Amino acid sequence: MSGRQSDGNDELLMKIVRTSILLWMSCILLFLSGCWDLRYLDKLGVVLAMGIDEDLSGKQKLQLTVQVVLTQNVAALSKGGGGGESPVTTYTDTGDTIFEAIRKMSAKTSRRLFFSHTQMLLISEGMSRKGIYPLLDLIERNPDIRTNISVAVTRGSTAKELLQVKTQMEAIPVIQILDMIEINQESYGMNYPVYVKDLIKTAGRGLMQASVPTVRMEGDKAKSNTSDNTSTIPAGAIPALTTMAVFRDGKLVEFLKPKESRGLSWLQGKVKNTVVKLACPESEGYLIVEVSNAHNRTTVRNVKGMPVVDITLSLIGNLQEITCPGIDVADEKAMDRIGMMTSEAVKQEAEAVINILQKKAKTDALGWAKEIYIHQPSLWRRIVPNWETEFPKVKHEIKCTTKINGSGIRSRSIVK
Amino acid sequence: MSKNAGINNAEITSGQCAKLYILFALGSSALILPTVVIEIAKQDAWLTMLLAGPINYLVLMIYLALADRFPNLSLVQYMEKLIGKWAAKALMLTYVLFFLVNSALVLRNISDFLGLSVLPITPTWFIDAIFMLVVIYGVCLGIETMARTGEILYFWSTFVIFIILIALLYQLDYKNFEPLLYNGILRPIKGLYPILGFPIGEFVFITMIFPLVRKTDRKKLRKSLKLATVMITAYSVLLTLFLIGVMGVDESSRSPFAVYDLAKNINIEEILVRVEILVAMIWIGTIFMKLVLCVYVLSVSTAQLLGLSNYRPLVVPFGFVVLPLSLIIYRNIAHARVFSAGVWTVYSVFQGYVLPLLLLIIAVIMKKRDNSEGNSFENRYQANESIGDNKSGDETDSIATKEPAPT
Repeated sequence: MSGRQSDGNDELLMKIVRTSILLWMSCILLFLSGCWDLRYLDKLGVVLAMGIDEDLSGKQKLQLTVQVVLTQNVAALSKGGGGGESPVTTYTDTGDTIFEAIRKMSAKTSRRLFFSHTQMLLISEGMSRKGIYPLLDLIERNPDIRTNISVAVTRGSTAKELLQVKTQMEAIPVIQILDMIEINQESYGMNYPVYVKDLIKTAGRGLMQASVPTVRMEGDKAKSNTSDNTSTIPAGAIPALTTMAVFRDGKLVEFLKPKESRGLSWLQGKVKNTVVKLACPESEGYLIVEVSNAHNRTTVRNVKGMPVVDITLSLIGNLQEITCPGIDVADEKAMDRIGMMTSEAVKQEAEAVINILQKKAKTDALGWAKEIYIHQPSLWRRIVPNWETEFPKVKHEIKCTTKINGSGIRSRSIVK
Repeated sequence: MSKNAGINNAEITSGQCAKLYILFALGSSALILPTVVIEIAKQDAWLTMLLAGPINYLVLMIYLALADRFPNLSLVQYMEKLIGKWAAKALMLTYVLFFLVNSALVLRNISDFLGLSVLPITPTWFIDAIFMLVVIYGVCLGIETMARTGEILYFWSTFVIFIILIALLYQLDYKNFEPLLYNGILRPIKGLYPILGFPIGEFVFITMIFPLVRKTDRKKLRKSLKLATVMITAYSVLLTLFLIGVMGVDESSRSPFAVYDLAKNINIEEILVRVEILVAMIWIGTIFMKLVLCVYVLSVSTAQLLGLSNYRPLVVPFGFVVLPLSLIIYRNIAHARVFSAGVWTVYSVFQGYVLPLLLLIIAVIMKKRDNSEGNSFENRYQANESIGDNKSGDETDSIATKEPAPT
């Protein structure tokens, strides 16, 4: 009897304990709710890309365009419906600085713009020529915006127009541009992604100048931002990559030619996979070598008080296309010869970019200053005061070796 | 009074003591210090951190030598035995002020960090107040609870630091360290200046913890503290190496919370990204430990200064002092730079090295040793406790006047 009663008491006690714990936890919730900084997801406009143009009216320094994802339309798209509603929209406003323009935009948006997921920054050619570092300060300083944003320069059309193109392959247009740069690096190596944090590093010690990929619009601009653009095959207008653009002190100076652009990639060690075209030695036609592995090493020698930059490129490739007769791929000598031809072709591309950087653009986008600083600090100390004039005079030596591994899944070619 | 009413309700193991030491070193300084050091020493900052190891060791030797002579007394207590009652009281007061300012600075660090990176709109005083609530609770629970919390936090912070370092290993660019000693050996040595005060000078808190270490564990204490010094040096060298290697000298010297920015670089195949909040959690944990220790030492040394039987009544009032003090201790980040890299070093070196060293020299000259049970920490305060019991519970009444030990 008494035992039972005490059981009842225990139960009551447990109940009180449980209730008080529950009460305590709900009290704690008051403190854990994120305080003043709470932001509801459905009150945020997630910005995927920013585009910076010159202000056309000339009254202010820049015109900012943001590409905002429309979550309700994305949800409709993934369900298979869609009905022609665009998953993104853009807002544009002018300002003397980016932050000013962003905040001015609040006059047009019902949601607070949220920059934590911004992935791309497009800068128009005009703005790039005026200098990009003032545009990056906000991105670096603001705790909300991350610095792994991919950067591209627009050529021929404004950043605004490029952010408004409807694309077919990707529902969200900026993803198309973003992935295009990476795919190009992985398969052709003419462009490679450059992130805001990389540019900030070039701004820092000033020992390397910036280089950024370029995007343009291909096709009919007029209808690029309507759904007509994607209703035809092929699309009326598409964003397309061109070549790398090189900067001097944060100001765009030169768009490289395709050959030079890949030369820059070789020397920066950015080539992941590419194809090298060679003319057949004895007959009409071409050989294509797919380079699947490229490795580069740069050192600096001190020759009579002047730096000589030694660049060693070692490539591994495969013969993948033969359009001329008389190539015996079973012969090791022939393979070695193709390897040497590949090396020569790659060397030419590298020489081409060094030539234009030293002679025409006069900008050290290869980071030779950094290499000299690292490898020959005493020499660097002496030449640093007039590095600007010294850079075009720096000599270099490129050694390139190619190892050809095989010739695909066939030996002799059917071309006769 | 209840069983945990005394100042020394508890004892901790030598391992726990070493862990508290490491957490105190990691808290706030690991987050802020690298920026300052890299700004001075550039790519040789890791050498500076390496050079700080021996200095840390030497300072620890001073504390340990004092602890050998007075194993059961805290710094504030054996001061009285060495230089007489009134001179000791004056010196004690400087330590009370030192730990008061230190607590305020540490609290300010946490609100600066959270305010800048995680909770920008939340008012500073609110972050401080919420944090202080937990700290007051922690200090009231006593050293044993703090030490056990330290063990848990130590495991997690080590774990997270290593996860971060491993995740960044492939981004390490050795070229960022070259050329080594571009401006000679002087540059890394100059970088030592801020480290001397922050955190090495602040390690003087450990002298207040020594008498609480379990008697049977005392032999191991020396060994585990030496190991802790090695660990602290290893942590700071590793963090600085990764900062320079991954972010480069320029960026890490421009970012006020460099290690937090370092974690932002983690990107493993787009799967493991944006883990920097882990770092924030760990720093909140370690800074919490540092603040708890500071406030504990502050309360205990004040209690010993005033001869109270219990430090706990002092914790809440000190909470109310530390909180507003932290809001006005410096005006803004720019002022903080000048303060922490210039002024604090002088102050902290004086309190952390010069005074203990002088006390040690006096102890050696006077050939003073005191480890008799009669004067030991525990008995003394148990005696005080009974005096306090006889009087009314009022705080001012419980000040027990004691005879200083005969010299």
